[in-house]
Amino acid sequence: MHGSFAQIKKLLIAYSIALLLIACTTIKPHQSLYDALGKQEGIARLTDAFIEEIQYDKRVLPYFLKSDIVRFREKFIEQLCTISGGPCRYTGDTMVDVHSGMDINEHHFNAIVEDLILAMENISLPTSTQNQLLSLLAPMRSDIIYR
Amino acid sequence: MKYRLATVALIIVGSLGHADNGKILATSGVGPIEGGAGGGIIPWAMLSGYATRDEVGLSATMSEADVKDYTLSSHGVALGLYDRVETSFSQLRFQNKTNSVDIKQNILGIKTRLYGDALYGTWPQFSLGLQHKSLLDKAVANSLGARDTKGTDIYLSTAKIWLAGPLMRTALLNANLRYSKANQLGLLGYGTKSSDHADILFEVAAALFIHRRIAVGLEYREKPDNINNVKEEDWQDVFIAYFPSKSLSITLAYLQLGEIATLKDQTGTYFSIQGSF
Ligand code: HEM
Repeated sequence: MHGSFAQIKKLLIAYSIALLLIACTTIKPHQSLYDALGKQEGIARLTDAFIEEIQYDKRVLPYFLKSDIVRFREKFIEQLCTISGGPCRYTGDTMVDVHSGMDINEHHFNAIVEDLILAMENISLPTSTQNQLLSLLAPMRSDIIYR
Repeated sequence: MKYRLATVALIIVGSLGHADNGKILATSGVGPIEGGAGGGIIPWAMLSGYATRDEVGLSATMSEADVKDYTLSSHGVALGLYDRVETSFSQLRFQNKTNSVDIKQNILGIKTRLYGDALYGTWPQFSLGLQHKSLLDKAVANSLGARDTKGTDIYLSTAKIWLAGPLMRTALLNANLRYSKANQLGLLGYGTKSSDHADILFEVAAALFIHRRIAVGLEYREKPDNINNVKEEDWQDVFIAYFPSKSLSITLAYLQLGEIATLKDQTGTYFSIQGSF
């Protein structure tokens, strides 16, 4: 088949429509995510499992050795509760302020994401819940790395 | 054979070493036949391996397509540099199961990420690639009246990954535009004696992670039809890919390659294995 321009135009339009359709299905209200995470109790359990994974992770553990882990736990729970649509207010510092000057690169960010995935697996969260949470955290990446 | 053994060794070494670097699982696809990062029959905009912008990554791939009258096997290595450039070398081998047709082709690839991040960007990732191909066995191409036995394809590739796509599953969409004079990937040479015209061809792949380690998807590759009386048809496949670890992927596909060198309905299976580190 010869790739005529008319045909390519059609295919490009089809591709753009597909992009839009997928993008739309991903924009969903998150009210139910807080429930899916198991509310306050589930989020605390997830945060504890996450901190445990960080303890085993040579790639990122050095960063946390100097930090106040009690405060981290409290603020991280607040943050997950807030972004998942729960009845909380995040009172910690902005992602840029917290992570600036720490020399965090892509490699560290991916390591943290892996640790969070392992934590979510450990407490048996369904894949759909995991993906929803990850898609809310992913946009914070540029506020955290190379700052 | 030498390359083949080296590839096997690399896959094994790659899959043993735990890739504790780079990207999260499976964001660079599996190993396409022409080398580099991609699906089974087309390249994707992602770069090979798990290298981030501070890292270097290596991958090795072997694949085997077995359709009605032919086998098409490929093995190759790819080097990803700093999430910016990927270079690859692959060798394709195309054999007729019932006669002596046995064609080898070397493919040198380079791909550069122009813009974006398929996973974390708001907009799709764009890459530009070159595949320089040369036939080691030129008799068939010459006898069919091909103009050249070497050629270079240029492609523009764009991809987007959604962490929570349809069904709250991670989804990928990739589309390429390819500028090419190749007849059947260049296995039957480039252009014809009577025409040196190039086509712009469309390629697309879609995949959905039904599980964190298992993706299913489909690919479509538009093909030119340059040689009179030797029809060439578009290719398509459906695939399932399994990622037992970050450094190993195994892909199975059902291929529909249409008519190849006058033999119709070339459907069959595809298997590939890739190790990255
Ligand atoms: C999506 C990814 C991330 C999220 C949502 C996140 C969130 C948070 C939150 C909520 C806090 C507490 C803020 C406060 O105390 O006011 C915090 C602190 C911290 N984060 Fe992150 N973080 C992420 C990625 C990372 C990465 C990749 C690293 C480095 C490997 C990192 C290292 C730290 C450290 C060391 C602290 C403690 C800072 C201190 O004690 O002063 N974070 N993070």
